[in-house]
Amino acid sequence: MSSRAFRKRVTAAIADRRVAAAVHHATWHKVGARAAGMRMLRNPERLRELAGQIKQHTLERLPEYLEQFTANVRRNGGQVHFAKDAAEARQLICELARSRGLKLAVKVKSMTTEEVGLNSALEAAGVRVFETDLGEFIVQLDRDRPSHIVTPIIHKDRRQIATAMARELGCQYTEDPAALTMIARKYLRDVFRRCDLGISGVNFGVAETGTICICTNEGNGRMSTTRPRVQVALMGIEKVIPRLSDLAVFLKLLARSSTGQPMGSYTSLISGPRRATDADGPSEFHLVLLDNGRSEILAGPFAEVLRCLRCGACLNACPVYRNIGGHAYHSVYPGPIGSLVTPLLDRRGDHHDLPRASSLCGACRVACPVNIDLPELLVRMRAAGRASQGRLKKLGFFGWLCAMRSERAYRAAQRILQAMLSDDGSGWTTGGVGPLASWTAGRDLLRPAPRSFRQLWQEELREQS
Amino acid sequence: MDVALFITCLTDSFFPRAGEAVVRVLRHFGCRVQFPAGQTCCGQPAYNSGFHDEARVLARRMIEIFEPYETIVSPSASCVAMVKQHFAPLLADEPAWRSRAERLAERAHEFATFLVDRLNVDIAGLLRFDEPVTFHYPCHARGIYGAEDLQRWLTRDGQVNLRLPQHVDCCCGFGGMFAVDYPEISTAMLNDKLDLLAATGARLVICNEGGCTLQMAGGARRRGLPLRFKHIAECVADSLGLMKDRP
Amino acid sequence: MSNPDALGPMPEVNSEKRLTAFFDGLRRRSALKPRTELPTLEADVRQVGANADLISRFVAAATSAGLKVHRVGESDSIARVREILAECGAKTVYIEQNACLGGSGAPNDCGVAGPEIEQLTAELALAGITVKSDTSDETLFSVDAGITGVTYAVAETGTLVCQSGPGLARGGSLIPPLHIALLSAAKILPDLYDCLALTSAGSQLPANVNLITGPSKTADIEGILVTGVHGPREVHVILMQNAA
Repeated sequence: MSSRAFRKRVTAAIADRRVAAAVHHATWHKVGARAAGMRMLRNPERLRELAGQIKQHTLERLPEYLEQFTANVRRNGGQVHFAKDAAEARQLICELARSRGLKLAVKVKSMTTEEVGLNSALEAAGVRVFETDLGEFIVQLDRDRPSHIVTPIIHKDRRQIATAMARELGCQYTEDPAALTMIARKYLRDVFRRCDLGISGVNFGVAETGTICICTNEGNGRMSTTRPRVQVALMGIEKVIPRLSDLAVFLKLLARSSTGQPMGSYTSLISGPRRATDADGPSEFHLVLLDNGRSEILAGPFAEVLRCLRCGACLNACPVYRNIGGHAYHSVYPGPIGSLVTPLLDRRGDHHDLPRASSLCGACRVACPVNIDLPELLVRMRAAGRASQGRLKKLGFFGWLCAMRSERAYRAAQRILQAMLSDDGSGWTTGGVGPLASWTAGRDLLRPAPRSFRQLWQEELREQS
Repeated sequence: MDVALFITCLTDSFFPRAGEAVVRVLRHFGCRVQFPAGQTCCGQPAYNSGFHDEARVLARRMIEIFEPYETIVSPSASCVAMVKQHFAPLLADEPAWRSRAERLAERAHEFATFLVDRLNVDIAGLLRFDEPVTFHYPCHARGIYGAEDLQRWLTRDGQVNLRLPQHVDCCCGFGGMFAVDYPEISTAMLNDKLDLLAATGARLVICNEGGCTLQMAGGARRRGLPLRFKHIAECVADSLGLMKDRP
Repeated sequence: MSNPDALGPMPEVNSEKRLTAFFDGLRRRSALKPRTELPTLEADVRQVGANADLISRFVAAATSAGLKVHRVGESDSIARVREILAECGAKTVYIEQNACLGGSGAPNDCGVAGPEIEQLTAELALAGITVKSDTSDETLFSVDAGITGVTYAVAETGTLVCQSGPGLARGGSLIPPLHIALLSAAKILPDLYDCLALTSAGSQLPANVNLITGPSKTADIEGILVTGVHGPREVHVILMQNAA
């Protein structure tokens, strides 16, 4: 039984045919592309196992690896800061901008900066902020919210994009994706030329070298970490990995899981600010380590979710996401991983529908490059949130348990079920109240057979044995 | 071979013909079939909903009823998966029960895999269809059998006109309580699945999971789609002429 | 998910004390026991072995990633660069100084020399092309093409590895709309694993190492592929082999 607010969002999302069509098309396409990309590997299942193992190993020794990582970032000339929550992350980065007189920021698409709500804080502090990933740029122009971890405008079609760009940039209206992209390129080129602050997330932080790894296809990651004089990377504490060579495992899986590509166009390994003899690059490098609830997750029964690479494969694979889209989750993190991470990061919020709104089909587990057992964790979270289940549900399970504890009660329940379902002679029920109304709103219900199997057994089948 | 049937609650109430087919096919291949008295439900609905105390009660009950038997066969992969994958972890804090659960897990078999792996039956060689067929792969069969196994069982060197649906492992949206707790989502998923099945052009859908059949048959009827659903046990029994009624 | 109270006391910037306190807290609270081994990787990770035909693997992977690969003898490289520039209508180019254009300085140098920068510059100038070698914004944002060397390449993925360093501008392979990379065949490593192992072998990584696997691209609008979003629209690889 879903909460009214969630149900309203879901119903609206499913009814929006345009969004539903866009999301269906995109996710089906990505599911196929991922499968094709994984098939190219000699041993895809072994790689997923290894990736999960490396992440799990690192989480089990997180303080050690973080210590090594931060020491090496400093050795490379970077500065390391710690933000215990979203507010601290915002303050730190705003203070960096203020103290250095930075006024124009370019951003690489980053889930952590979305998570802490950095953009509005910077704008309030007088810094112009430009999202530079094309999708995020359009989201920003249209004052919308991203609906996918990797493909933020998966819910928008070209007409909506064209309208937003013409309105906000005053350019000629065009629906041609190439032309729209070139308009954004031209506009952002000018920004890249003048910017003084570059902000990114981190795909991987390599402990042994103090290197951060940033993966993009558009090159905005490179632009934003090359052009400004100050670079800031906001990194969740779970993003650290032990060795540079571990990247071989993750890079073989990451782009394949996201888009099906063997490798994204640009993988940048950044080890501190520019060296004295370097031709270009930022002269300051700041790493902000973000906790924001992660250490609490690490201390609990859901630590496995911290393996997540934010590749989006579970979103693409998920039939629930495919039908309700990202916005219905009311979270920065939608999809199966979002259904776990959202309630964990925002413990005061009302997110109890998220882990329950799943058929537990397991498509997410099959797709996850780091082998997170998402359905199992969803069930675990349902169990942990049992107290928040409605009274009717609890009563229902009490009654059900009573019926299932003895064969006599079970048979009585079977007869009651028979009697409760209306019979117009067709063998089908098409309406009713309570759960029956829920079921029959969109499908018919087969009536129980006139004779149950156990009657059949008693009356016919048993004799033959 | 002595086989104890675990018939599962949905098969019992809604799909007794599938249960009957399981009995007749097993007997055909020389098994002595028993139906342990007192069996009800494996507790899966409670387990999936997070009502683990309730699920534990039924898990212990099921262990008691079935542990006298060496071989247990069920027409439902999801119920077998419940026994094989979830009973032991559920009872992890009770070592004695846990090891009893582990023993039971080793003896529980899904019908088709039992036929193929234990009785060495070539299912594909037995099947006779006079129309094109397609199939639904039940998500909860993951870990019991794969979509490619199901496909192999149904593929007989050009004899079976198998129409593979696109996105072969796409969920039907049933998900137990999910289907009534979140009916809008469940139905939207159902309609995606029905579109994929209908697009194959086949009208007969092989589906080995009662819950999925309940969902898909109900959806097909509501939409007026001419799809029929059959358990693979019924297909085998019908092909061998073991059933009393006409298919 | 963000905390609504935007401004509170400012956390101390770059504070080692705060970090140490956090690490200590993490150590105390973590419920996880260290029981998962850090796996050894090479045998499982490797997709391409040293015995593979590295050149054809590279060409196939790079081409499928959208790079345009031109296989030339070492003496033909400059002519091919000229042709590409002409085809693209490029009138001004940036040439990376200090570029390891040929085999020298490469990890397993097999002696393909590659063109001298002076010679390349001179021949392009002769063809009427304006050659720039400074890394100013004016240059990088105005030239039609950037010509750079490559530190390594990866056969498995068709990746070019470009590092930062003296005379090696990050912007050279990024900002101009056309990137021409000069790659000696000897620099092709079999697997991504080899590339990362080599990169981490030194005492300290360059500040910036870029793995380039394709032109700049996006599919954000309805999944339709468009190249040249922020980086180059076209990347040409001049793959130089010994005539033998």
